[in-house]
Amino acid sequence: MDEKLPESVDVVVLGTGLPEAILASACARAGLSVLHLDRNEYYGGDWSSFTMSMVHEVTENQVKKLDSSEISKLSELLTENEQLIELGNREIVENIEMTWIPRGKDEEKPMKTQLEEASQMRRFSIDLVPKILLSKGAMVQTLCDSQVSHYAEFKLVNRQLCPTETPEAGITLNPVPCSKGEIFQSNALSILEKRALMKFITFCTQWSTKDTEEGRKLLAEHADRPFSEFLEQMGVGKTLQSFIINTIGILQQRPTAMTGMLASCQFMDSVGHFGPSPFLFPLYGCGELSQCFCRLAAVFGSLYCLGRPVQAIVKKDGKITAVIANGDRVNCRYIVMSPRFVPETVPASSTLKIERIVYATDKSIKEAEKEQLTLLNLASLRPDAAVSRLVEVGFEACTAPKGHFLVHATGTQEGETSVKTIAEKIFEKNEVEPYWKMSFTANSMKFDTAGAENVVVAPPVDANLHYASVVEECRQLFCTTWPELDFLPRAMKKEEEEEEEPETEEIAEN
Amino acid sequence: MEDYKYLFKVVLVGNAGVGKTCLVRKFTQGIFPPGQSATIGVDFMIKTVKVGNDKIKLQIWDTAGQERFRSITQSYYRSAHAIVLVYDVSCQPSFDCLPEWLGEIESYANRRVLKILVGNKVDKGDEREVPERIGRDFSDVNQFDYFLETSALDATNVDQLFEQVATRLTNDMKLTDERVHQFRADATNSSSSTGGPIKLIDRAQTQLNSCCTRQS
Repeated sequence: MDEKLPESVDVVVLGTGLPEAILASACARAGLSVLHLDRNEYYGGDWSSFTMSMVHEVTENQVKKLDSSEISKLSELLTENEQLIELGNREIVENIEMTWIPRGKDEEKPMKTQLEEASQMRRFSIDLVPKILLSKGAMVQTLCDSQVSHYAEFKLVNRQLCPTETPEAGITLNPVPCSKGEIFQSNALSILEKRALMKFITFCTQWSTKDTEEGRKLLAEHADRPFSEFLEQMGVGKTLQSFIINTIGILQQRPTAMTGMLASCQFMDSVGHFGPSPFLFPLYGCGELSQCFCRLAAVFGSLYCLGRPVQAIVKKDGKITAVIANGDRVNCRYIVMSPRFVPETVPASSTLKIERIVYATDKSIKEAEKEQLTLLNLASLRPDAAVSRLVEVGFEACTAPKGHFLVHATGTQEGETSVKTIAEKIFEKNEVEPYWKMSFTANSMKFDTAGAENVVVAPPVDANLHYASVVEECRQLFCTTWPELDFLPRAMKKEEEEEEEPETEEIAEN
Repeated sequence: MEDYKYLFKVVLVGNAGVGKTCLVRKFTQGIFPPGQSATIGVDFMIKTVKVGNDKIKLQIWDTAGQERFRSITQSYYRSAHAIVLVYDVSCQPSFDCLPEWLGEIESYANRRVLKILVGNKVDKGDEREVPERIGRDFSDVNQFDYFLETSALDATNVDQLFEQVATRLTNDMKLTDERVHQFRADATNSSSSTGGPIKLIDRAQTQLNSCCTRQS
């Protein structure tokens, strides 16, 4: 049964990536009628997660350009003064290479065969865009306010590692203490370093109570100079400087004193909220969040249709009046689209290339008694790059079978050393042999305009560690486009449960 | 403050229009929604039932209409303890689609999920297109744990359906508890301070409660 799409809606949303899902849920929640479409058979678009069985779908993105006869046929759906515009299919994820890696130890039976025979391929959840949530960050706040939090569960990222490199020892991975208790128990810090660190944390606590202007005054001439200089004058040694900048200050790339302090205070504020670490990771992987926001949109009436060819939009008098999907016309008052769909005739205002590699392994980069969810900031090893990090997640996060791990390397492309090189150095040092890997380039494309006034281009994939900027950009886009409506307002407590059955009533056990 | 022994997630799937929402509403609220409206605004409902001496909470999830164009999320199936697959006995196509639904369940649901097959709308006796025997055979062949015909309209077998779910899940869980208890006894020495999954809302509730406490 191929059911007909609606003839008319307020908003058509193209693509089910996280930003599109957030915007769809905000529109539906605000009472707009929404039709949400995706060319793919799966949710998530360029923000998806895949099982090992399905990950090949990321390469199978064949959308043929419309030929002249197709354009003629679709043009029959147009009325006077309307113009057909073919939708784009931009390469947001490109240069994809995926390979199983033969290993000596698997000589008898390749790992792929082992996994298939044990029905473990579906136990993987391979993220295109792995991020973490800050416990008191914008994403957690939005999830709670909208009650999308009902649909998701999280795990604490319970280990942060700080890499140091020396010519003789190579790369060493040092555990980062986050809470005061952990700091005092840490073996990685000397007594003097612990004292300096506690002094810094105390300063953060006091500094965070000041307003912006007062905070800036306290930093004096250091405010807009490198954070490391400020730490040095505070009596923080070089090693501890690196530690503070790259772990406590991880939320800010290349920080000044001002931005470094803001990042550190954000970090400290989230410590202890759900546990000793400030960071959370979604159970079953980050692609889950797109689906969760889509569910909220559906609960408020949004229609979902995956796997439909989405071919063109119809423009009249500078506005989009309709979308054409699978040969059907759907009239609409607004369109929200993933950057992927922006027509080829519209120039991108900027594109940032992000290097991504995912490895599957059967040994952690740092063995522990219990499996850990791990975050490493590699900034100290790639000082020229804006972003360099590793995230290792496994069975505990429901992203790999028991005893297996996914290691996500993410980096912007600057400097001589790639993030891949560093990841593989870490593997070699710790005797980790990946058995599978996928590499690709993610293109973070921004558009100043989409060629019509009632089109919203959703935020692109980005290299940020957490979700704050995605949430805030969605909020701004929503409030600019629909200034009279609320963006995912705090929901009233639902009347979930009816009166309980009288005590006397019992179910007979079989 | 735990006032129940187990909380089970029960999800309903099946074609649009087979009466999934009506089944949920009839069981949880005792009402049959008027009209033919699609499933909008329905998220999940919680109903407490008793199994023996235990209070059991069923958290019953509806599709929110995402099945209309076959676009249910994988997320919907996550952590489900039971899946109720519903067809309409007066609509042969809804029965013919069952293999597709089974395919989704096999792909996305927990392997050990309880599978229930339901033929709804038996109140439409004269319009029946799927004999009970055919439904039961399909259930047997595809290893459903339970098969039942219902009517949400006149409440035929609705309570029985969910009571069966609650009873079977509770009995399974008690068996699991016994095994886990045995395992824990053996493993007492190892420090199993496993951090379980975190629900954001629990923390938010706690925060709200402590705020209220402070103010009063």
